[in-house]
Amino acid sequence: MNIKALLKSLLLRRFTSSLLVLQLALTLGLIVNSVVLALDAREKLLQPTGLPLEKLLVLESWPTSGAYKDSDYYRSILDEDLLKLSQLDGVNAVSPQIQVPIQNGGWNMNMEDIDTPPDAELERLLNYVAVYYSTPDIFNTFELELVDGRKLTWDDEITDQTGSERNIVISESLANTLYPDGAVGRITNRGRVVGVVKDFINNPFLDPKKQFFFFAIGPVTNSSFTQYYVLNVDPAKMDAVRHAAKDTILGVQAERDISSVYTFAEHHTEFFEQDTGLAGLFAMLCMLMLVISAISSFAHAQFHITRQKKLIGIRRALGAKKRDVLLYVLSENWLVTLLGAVIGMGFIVGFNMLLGEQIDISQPSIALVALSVFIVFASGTIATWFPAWRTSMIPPVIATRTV
Amino acid sequence: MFQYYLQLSIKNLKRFPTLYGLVTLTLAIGVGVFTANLAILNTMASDPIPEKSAQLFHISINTWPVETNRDPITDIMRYSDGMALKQGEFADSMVLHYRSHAYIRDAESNSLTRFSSAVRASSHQFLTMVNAPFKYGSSYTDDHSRNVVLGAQMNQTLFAGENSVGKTLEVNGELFTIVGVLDEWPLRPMFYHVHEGLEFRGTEDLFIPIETALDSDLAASVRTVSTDNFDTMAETRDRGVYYLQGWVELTNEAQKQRFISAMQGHSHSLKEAGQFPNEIITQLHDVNEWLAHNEVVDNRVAAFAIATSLFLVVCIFNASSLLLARYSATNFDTALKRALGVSKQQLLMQGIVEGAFTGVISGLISLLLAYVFLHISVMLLPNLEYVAVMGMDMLILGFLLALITTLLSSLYPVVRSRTVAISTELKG
Repeated sequence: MNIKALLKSLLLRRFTSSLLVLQLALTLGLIVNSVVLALDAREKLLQPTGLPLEKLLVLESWPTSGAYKDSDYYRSILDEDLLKLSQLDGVNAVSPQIQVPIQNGGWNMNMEDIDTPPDAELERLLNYVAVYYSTPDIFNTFELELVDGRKLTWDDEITDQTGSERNIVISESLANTLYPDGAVGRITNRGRVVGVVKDFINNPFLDPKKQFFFFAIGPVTNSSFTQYYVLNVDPAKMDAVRHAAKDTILGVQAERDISSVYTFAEHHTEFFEQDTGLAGLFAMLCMLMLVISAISSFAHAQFHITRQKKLIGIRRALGAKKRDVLLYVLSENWLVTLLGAVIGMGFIVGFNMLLGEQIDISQPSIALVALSVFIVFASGTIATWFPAWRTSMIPPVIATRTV
Repeated sequence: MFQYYLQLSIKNLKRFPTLYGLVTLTLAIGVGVFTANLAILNTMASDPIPEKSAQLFHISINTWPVETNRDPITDIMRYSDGMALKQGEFADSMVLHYRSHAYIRDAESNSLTRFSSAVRASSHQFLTMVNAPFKYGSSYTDDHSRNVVLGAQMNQTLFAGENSVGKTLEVNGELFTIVGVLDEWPLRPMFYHVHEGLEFRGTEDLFIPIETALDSDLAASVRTVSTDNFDTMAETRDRGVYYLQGWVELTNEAQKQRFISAMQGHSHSLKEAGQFPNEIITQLHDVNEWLAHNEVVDNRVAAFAIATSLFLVVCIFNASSLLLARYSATNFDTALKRALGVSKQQLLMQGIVEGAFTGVISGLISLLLAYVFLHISVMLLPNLEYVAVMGMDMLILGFLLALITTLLSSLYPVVRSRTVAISTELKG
């Protein structure tokens, strides 16, 4: 096989060939980066959350009546709600909350040791420590595992104490950051640390080792904000509980708007909706790209290779075997693919950098690039082989008739 | 002559139906995806109030009372800061506002159902400043009055779209009088509040005077210093609670300078009183600067735009390659025409007419596809729902784009086919 002759023949059809090479390169760039995006989105979804996603059910509600501004009234309704919800068959624990994990934003406070000097350089994220005011049942609801100290009880309820007199439980990563040599007994501006629990993912956008949050037994009756009831439910009875929960609450007091009822698994999927959605868009583009590629190979076979009939005929007449012709046409395709793959590497990296300026995207792995090049090679070969085989079947007599 | 070229084009299209079908489809897909994405991007990046965008300024001022190393909070301010700037009358029109939420119902209705509604508590000049379109009545004119303005959709829900001016509205259990009803007001982006994902959610259902809102304890999303707790919104008037956004209307550079020096004066007086230990930041951003500053354009859409434009390039390459095949297939005809005296110029004209004719067809298909892709985008990214609109300008742009790309794709093939060697081709 003569590479020089091949190159020459390609140069003769400079425009068509370079279009094909560029098209291949762009296709590679798009497809590889789309796959990277899809893999990124999948990885985020698979990251462990430290929460029993399948067992948690959330009810979001707003009081619609002004009567709830009276916090004693609100409290009496709340207690009744909790009692009724906990009596539902399949409910293991229930707790009221002011926010739920797997979020970005929400209720945050700064936290530092009570004796921190004002000019100390603190970790920036310590300004955004998520607050979980709830009842002692929150530990059972989230199935929190104690690392040190004790859990909170009703004796720890916040009444009138100032910040540092309160008792709080903090997350493990927060404890490690604030007090690397033991947090229990230390006093922060938000209260005395009486316990440390294992981390769960509060904000998936942050490092799993930087999940800062704390618990206190405190105010959950503010009528101006969403009320969250979180139920820990036996997964087998989830559907039944889900069905009954809304009416249970409205049965206690009807002037509430139950804005949504969802499981934590749904909440988790929805949180990443934007990422999976974008990956979906790119997947759609890849599909279209494949359609276009299919059109391209079809057209190439249909219109360009048949144009070469004459040349092939001459070759056959001059003694080239069918096998030689086949190999010739195929190697032409391989050369084009090779060029496309080389330029495609540049496009893959360039496109990855271009996207990186707009969104988070990891770099493609060598294996992925190699796989994509292989697939392009294989599909190109198959797409070329059939028309090439058909062309090679043409008897030289017919092929050379028009010479 | 044009008619003859057109006839020839139709003849050619019939002669190569598969090929032209593929060319049209290729370009229509490329342009369709690109246009759908461009429509979303265009809505996100558009100027929501072009007649006034250079005169309205967002007030950014740093007044955080505790020494801190965290990013300065400049986009929201305390009631006391807002009032100091407003009452100094450094500008003809300045407003303060915040977002809240309430349950409301028609007080005279038999139904006790209360509807969840987004609320904007604002100074009375607000609706005039942002050119809110009124259908009935007008804005409230006193920050302490119990008059409110209802949005179009909520008026539809509560009063079946009829003139409800003068009716009584129950808001979180308290009674108010409706003095105005807005027309449909699709503000994209909602420039006066671009945080918390509100920029593309639509304007509020209820507008209420700011002082009344505070007295009625309509809650806001706030940031506070750890020592400044509060139980009711009325208490935030004299505490370190940050939640108000300020906008000011300034018509010339002199007014702008005057207002900036007023902001600096306020910062300095706080510093002198020992209430402000941080760096002084006083800035005014006009509407477009403010939108750019807050990056309202979704990065995901921008990233996808890069991909769709590359895709369009691929489609053009592909179509061009296809058309090249079509023209080389008719080299004999071309040579014959040339031999019979058809000039290169005439061949070019014929090529252009044929390209344009194909372009029109692919333009029509691409608009259809753009509509489909717009829906797919919303399905995959539900947040885009309010942004995914395709205006007349986008339809025209998409159509023109299809036309241009088709012409572009046929340019090289046409030009090359004109230069066929007559003798060689005719010999066959």
